[in-house]
Amino acid sequence: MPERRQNTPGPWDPAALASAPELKTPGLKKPGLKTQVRHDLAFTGDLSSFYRIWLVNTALTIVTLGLYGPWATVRTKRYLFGHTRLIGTGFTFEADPRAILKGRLILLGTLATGAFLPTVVSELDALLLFALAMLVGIPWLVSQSAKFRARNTTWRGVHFDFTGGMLGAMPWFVLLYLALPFTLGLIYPYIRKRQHAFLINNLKAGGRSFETDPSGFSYFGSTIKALVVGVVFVLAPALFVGHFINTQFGDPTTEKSAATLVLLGLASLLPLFSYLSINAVYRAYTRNILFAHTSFDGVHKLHSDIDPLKLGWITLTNLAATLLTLGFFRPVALLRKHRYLVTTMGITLMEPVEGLDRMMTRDDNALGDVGGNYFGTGVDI
Amino acid sequence: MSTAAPHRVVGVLTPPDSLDVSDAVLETTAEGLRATGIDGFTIAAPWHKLRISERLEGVERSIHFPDGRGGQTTDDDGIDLLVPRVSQSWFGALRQQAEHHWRAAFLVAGAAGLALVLIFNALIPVLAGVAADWTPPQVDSAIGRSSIGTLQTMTGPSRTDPALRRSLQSDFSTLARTAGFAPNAVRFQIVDGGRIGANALAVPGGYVLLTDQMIARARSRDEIVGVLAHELGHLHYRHGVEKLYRAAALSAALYLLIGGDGGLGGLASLGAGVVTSAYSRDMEREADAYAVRLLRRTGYDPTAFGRLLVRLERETGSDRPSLMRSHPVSQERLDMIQDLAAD
Ligand SMILES: [Zn+2]
Repeated sequence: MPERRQNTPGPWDPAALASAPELKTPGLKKPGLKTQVRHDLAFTGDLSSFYRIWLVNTALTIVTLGLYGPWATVRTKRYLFGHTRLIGTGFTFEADPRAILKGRLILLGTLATGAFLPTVVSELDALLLFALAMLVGIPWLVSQSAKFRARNTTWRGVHFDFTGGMLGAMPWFVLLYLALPFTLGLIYPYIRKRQHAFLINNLKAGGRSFETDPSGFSYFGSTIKALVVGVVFVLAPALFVGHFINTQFGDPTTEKSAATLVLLGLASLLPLFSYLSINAVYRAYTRNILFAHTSFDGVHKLHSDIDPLKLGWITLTNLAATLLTLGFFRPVALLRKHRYLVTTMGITLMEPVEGLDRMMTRDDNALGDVGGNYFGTGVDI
Repeated sequence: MSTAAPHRVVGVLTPPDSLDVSDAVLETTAEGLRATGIDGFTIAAPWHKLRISERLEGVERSIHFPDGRGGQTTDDDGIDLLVPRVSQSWFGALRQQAEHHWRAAFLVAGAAGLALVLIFNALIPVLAGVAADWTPPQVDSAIGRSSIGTLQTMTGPSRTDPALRRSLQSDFSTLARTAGFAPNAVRFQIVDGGRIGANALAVPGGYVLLTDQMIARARSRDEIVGVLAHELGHLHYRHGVEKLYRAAALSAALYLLIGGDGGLGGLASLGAGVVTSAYSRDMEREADAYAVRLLRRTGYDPTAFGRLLVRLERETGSDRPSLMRSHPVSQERLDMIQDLAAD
């Protein structure tokens, strides 16, 4: 039904419009009884337009020696967000690319300084500085990128916001990792849970809060499940294939054809492939649990029904195809994964929805975007 | 604004009191824009307070009014005609053409492919060369000192016959003097290779390191002297610093190109590996050519070290594909060395 509005903007006369109330866009019900209605997200992007956007983005980024990169990032996100629709309306993402460019340049400068540091100060000093930079830098980047993403996102004029800060992120994104060795890694599901809780509980939309409190036990369970699935479906086949390729073609004394070299190169990437696919399976399990325990403004419920195996398969095949095509599969991979992630999401609204504020909080802080994809905590919308 | 422009565009607007969207009409007024919703509510703003999002394949255009509310429309052409001075720049219009037509998109991509080749083959090497020229020699020494430290933990005192060592030292001095290095600007040391095996290294700041194992593989003194001349070539061109600059420029370029796109990380490191080994091959060829010229001037056999390289490669066996190898295939190098020596 909403497609009428999206695809056929007719040259209507405002007078005709006013006299034809049935033209009114179907949306949420009018005040009266409260009813629960489930809305699933839809995705309306198509591969051919996204591929052209990607080609132009990549080309402009290359000829500008990377300076266009932030504009490309914003356009890609705007396309993906804009075609992600809730009740027929897309999300808007309108970050200022200049802010991202500034952030990337600052990060690049910091990294370059860090690389030259050991030649200036002693090894111990460099190590201490590095530790300090991690302690402060990681939680800062995590909270800043969450803030940047939220503050640049709107839906039907409702602005998102993120109120978490560096200090709030520090325990879950740095400090607790120090406990990993002492607990033989058993604390990891708990860390993951607290990270997700931090990202959700500080998220706001229209001045109202998202709330979540999944049990640590359920995260532990999903870790076990992801490991089992990972070993059976990913690691074991990967080891088998890797071993087969190495014994068949890995003999260093023989001449190798180009095809064999490609095969050997892929075999050497199997560990990375396995890791990323298992991680995707894990992400699916935890996201399902997280969303099942997440509500918005106390009354609206979130949903996520990802099939973990399917997400793992999408991740694995995306990686392999991207490498084999030297990157040209990348836009297909991006679109495919995004489509699957959003179309398995939904929200049950208690309608009519009331009390949402539409005040604007635009954010142009510099380092917003840089940490975003790196940490990939998987709770973005 | 031309008189032929339409005066209204249809879109949607969110009423102030609900999450509903209602059909709305957008019109120009004397000083700006006004949106009127079907239920009669309106928002208006002057031009300078309006923000309209850029055109992008199938994504609704947002019209932001200063109070944080906004309308949306899918009528791309309509909005561009209505508010040309706010909505579309000439660059945006060109980009829109490329994003909308396959042929234009591929044309732009092809041009970028050429640019990429130029960046890696010309821009980065040239910039790194210029930066190396500008770098004070003290930097070479500083870099050298830290690598010497690492090398000392991996090597041991030489077990080569002291008489042979002394005679190689004097060969080295002859080479360095002929090459025009200032006295004591370059030093030469023989060590037990330990973990680095049969090897010869030029360390920035003027150190040449040769291992016992390398000496043991050589069949004549000229072969060893040739290797020393090759290493002096690396020092002469200051390949050490240049390599650092190239690597830095390469990672900066890849970071800016790929940015936060984690999914391409693996591909980026593969690409960086290929480009880096191509850069090293260039430097090895340059050092070989330098060695041939120097050896001819000093009267040593200029092709001997090429034969040593071929033998080394055959004995150790090459288990890496040539694409990833930092030194050009030795037979290829020997051929080139012989060509140069024959000139
Ligand atoms: Zn060399």
